[in-house]
Amino acid sequence: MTRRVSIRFALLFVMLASGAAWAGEEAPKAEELARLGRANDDSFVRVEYTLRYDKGESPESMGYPSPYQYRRFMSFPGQYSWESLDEVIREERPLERGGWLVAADLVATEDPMIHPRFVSAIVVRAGEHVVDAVPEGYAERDGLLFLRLAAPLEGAEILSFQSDANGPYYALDYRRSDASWQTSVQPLGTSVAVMDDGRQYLSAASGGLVVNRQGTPVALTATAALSVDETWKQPASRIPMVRHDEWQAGIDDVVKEVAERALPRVTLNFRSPRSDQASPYGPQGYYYGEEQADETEWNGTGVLVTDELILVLASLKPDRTARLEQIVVHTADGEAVEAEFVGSLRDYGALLARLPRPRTDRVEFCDRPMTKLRDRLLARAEIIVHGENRTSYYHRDRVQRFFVGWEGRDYPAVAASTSHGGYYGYGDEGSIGLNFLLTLDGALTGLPIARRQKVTVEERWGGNEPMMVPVEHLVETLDALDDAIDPDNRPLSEEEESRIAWLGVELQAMNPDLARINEISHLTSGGRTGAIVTYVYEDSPAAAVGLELGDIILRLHIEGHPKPLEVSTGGYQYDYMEMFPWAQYDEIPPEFFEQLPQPWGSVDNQLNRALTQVGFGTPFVADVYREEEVRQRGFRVTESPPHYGAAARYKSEGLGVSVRDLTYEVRRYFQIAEDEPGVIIAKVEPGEKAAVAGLRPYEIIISINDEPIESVEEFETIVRDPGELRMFVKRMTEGRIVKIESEGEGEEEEEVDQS
Amino acid sequence: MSQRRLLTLVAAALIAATGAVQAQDRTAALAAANALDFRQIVREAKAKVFPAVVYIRVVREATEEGKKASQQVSGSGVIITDDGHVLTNWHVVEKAQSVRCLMSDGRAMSAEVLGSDKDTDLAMLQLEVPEGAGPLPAATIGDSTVLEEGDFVMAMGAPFGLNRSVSIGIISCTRRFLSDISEYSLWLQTDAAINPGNSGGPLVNTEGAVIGINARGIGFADGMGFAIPAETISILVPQLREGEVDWSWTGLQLQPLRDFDRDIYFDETEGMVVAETDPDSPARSAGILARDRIVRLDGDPVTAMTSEDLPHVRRTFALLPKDEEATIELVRGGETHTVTLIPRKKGKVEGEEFVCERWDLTVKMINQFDNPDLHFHRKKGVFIYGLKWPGNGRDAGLREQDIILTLGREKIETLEDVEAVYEDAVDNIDQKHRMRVVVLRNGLMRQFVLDYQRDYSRE
Repeated sequence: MTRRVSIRFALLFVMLASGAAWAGEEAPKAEELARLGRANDDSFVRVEYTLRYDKGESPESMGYPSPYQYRRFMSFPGQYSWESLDEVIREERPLERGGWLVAADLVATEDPMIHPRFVSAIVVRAGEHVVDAVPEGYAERDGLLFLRLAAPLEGAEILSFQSDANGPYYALDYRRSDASWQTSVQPLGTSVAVMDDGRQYLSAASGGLVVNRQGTPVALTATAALSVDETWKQPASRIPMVRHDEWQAGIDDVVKEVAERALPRVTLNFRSPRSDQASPYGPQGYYYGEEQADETEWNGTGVLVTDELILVLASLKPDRTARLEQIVVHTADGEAVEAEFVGSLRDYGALLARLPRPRTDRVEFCDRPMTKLRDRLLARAEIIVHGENRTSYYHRDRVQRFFVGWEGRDYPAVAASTSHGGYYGYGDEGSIGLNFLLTLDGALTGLPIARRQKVTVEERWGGNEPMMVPVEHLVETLDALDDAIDPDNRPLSEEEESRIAWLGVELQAMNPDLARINEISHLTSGGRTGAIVTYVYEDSPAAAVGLELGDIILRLHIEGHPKPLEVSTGGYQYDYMEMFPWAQYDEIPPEFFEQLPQPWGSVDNQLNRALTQVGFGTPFVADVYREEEVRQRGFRVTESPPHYGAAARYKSEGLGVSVRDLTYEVRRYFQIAEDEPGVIIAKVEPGEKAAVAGLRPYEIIISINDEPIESVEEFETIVRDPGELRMFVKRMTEGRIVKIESEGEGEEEEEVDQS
Repeated sequence: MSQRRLLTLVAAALIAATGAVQAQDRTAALAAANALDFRQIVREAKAKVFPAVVYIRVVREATEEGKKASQQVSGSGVIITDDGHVLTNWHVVEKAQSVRCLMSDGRAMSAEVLGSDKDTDLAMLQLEVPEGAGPLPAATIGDSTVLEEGDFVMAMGAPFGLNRSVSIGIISCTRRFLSDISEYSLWLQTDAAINPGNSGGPLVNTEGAVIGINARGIGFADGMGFAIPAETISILVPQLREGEVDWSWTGLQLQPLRDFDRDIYFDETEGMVVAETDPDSPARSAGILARDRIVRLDGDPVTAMTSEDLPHVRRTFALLPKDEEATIELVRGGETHTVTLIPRKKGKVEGEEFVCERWDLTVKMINQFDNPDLHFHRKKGVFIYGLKWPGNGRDAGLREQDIILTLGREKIETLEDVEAVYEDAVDNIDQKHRMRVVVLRNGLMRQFVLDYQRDYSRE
């Protein structure tokens, strides 16, 4: 992917020396400004929203973005208040905003954009006088809300606009702050921003009532950027407005229809993880892995992007996609349609699936870039999927700012997910709504997609939060689908899934003490990264580049990955593994066999898993520390030989025993040479023949009836027929002869993992 | 329950048993019971052995907690010669620093351990008899091979100093095989109560002869006590007088022809099956293979039909002269082969230990027989035997059963290697108090940093 460095974002600020120079007049004195602030006092009213919980949920915090976007929002001063609406409810106070009386029964105010389900009452207050109000309409491209009063408000005066009044202008903002209601007066036009897209703005701290030097109202606005062409100068009655009933009808007839049809619930079904796959939980119960990594069902939302293709908003890592077995789309007409996996997007946390037959439900993409929809009234569909329940809510929303994000693209400062409970992200549990931005005629302009993080073993959290992505970015991706799809992130057969990369070493995790004594604290972030080579397998990639016992692998530089891969084996799981109870092994009853730890550590560890996700064949360079020197060793991601977790296996129902091929790490543990025969017992069913004969897990069957057993196939061939089985079994250096009378496998024979 | 009442009860039970059969013969039955005069028999038997039972108090040095710790343990023993040879258990006097014995007449004497054998759990003490003390009361060793299940026996001991105790029971089993416990000897099983203080005390028959040395009870079961039979004792007494019992080692792992528990039956009726041979063992050198069936040793038939036969067979091999050729006839794939086996000295069955006080750990030599799974990974080496808690070794992340490969820059193979590094480290603790330790754990190398600046012994 080429990196675009765009200059579109270079903002040219032209700071004029002073307002006086621009106006050609004396700058007003503070006293004059104060008089301006009071000039329209009588038209200032207070709008009070009484909020409530709905279904146990509270409204989102005002303008509060997802944690990921938070940092970016912080760079816009003023505009966003971080008032917690939940707190407003709990403190039993109304949400208060300033407003202006623009007609006898019409008030204009900055739209707090709170979903009506959370609003139990709106009143407008002028001094002692209070009247009820309901939404009358919403400015089309300004953040204004118009409220219709139940009765004329006594004690307030209607603003009288004079749009052609000459400047200079001042913006009056009315709000509750610092123990009083205050009006702030700010000169407009003392600074100007000239954008490379042709827009030229007067910069104001916020919108408000614009007056001239005499205090005559010129315009009303809720945006902070006013065009220098002064087209905004108009009386409030001329502001283009979408009436509330039009809005409601638009939602009901158009937006909702689109969202229900084109944004259906999708169920993903996964194969059960292998029992020997590294658990996300370590032995002490600490969490190491990925959220919900071993769930077998996922419910979420999809987007019908073409007549046949659905984009499923699930950010699945390759090891999870590997187990994906079924994609079911629950259409608006109640059908469950099975879709076929097409591919996972390389850069976005989403996958594409193909419907069995074309549908007419697809969403229309907005043909205008989102930047052209700035400040416009948009519909935001919030879709919450809890298991089989899909709920949707429709909000007003506007894109008022953009920030520069991944690969230099522009992203709107609009929350992509809504949390009514404090958790953000994809996923199907908890109160998380995914937000979709649509124009009022039902075209999709923004959708929530997580950006796919590059492979890492260190960052186990985050990276899974969706962000509001303008639909044109997605269109770009869909237009070049071949490039957009990650071939390594796809469903796999169980056999393929077991493929895992290796370096061909056993590692011990670094720690601060070890880093200190090895004098590599400065190379390992004080001992938090890096690992000591504790074993090098013959004929492995590590052996090929000459890695030795005691070498310290610091980190891996993978081609195409901006951040080096820190070497970690998955924390303490390995180091603190209990010694296998060989000394007491004969006293352990067969019922407890399944609880026994594997005597050797799993090779399905985080480092190998991360390398696997990088993709076989990818070149990388390892920084290796040896004898006070950091050396570079070049590798390619290589598939490991079969390991215990993925070894060919066979279960004999008749004998009640499962065996597996001897794999490289098992041979290392038991010191069995490459040319020595044997299969290892993986499981013994209590009470069955093998258990009665005293066979135990992790014992090695060397031969049967004097025939050496080289593989599970040979084992299978011998035990399939009825007859006496005289097995030579070894445990470490101890051996014994076991005789079992086999009745053969007959029809009951069953193969496991031979797909 | 008093001894007297117990005996009355036993007699009454006998009377009831006979009496129930034929009520009319009540008088005759009573007469029979009187003729048996069970109380008299017990008294006489007891009188022969009781004076020879001694209470043994041992101060031993324990290191399994990672430090040198003196413990006081006690047990029982029985004098078998009038010049003061005392038989007891190996586990009573194991690692003894000092042994004191209290005789039934109140005389206390120190004792020296002449010899012991861990395999059979037997030890021989020599009492330090003061000048002119005269001959000591001694019990005689009887014949355990004529015992039958149901024979009355008494377990004697001195669990609490001057007091002697006796409990009565019957032989429950004359040939009890306990796998992994005692390689060369079967056990006598009795329901006479054998409790911890009785360890090392005699099991006595109605003639007043010692037919076993009580060794162990079973924690979770009542009425199951185990004694080392006199048959085994008689064979070992001469060796115990001379010191450690010197077994021969062949490295044969043997398996009987019939194994009911595992449902394994070989068709043959002679010999026994070689399950495996130990690596680098005489058996392997002799070319004996797993699955061979040994049928003759030096021309004599040897058979282990069931596991109960194994201890005897193993003992036969273990008593072969060392470094001398023995002829073994075996059947392999239907053909008879003859091989020559040269047994070697078995030697120590447990490694020596060393205490690294400042490190709060103890180390031990790997012994093939004591630590087979460590020996599997390293033939010669030192492992961490005990870790004090809390302590520097444990803080470093070391664990029991870690095999030490290097300490600092020194490769470690023997206790002397550890000792040298340790002494040096303690001498130079002011300059340096941190050391890299490389161990083998689960067959994999692991590095740790041992920081011994902290002095836990002062805390």
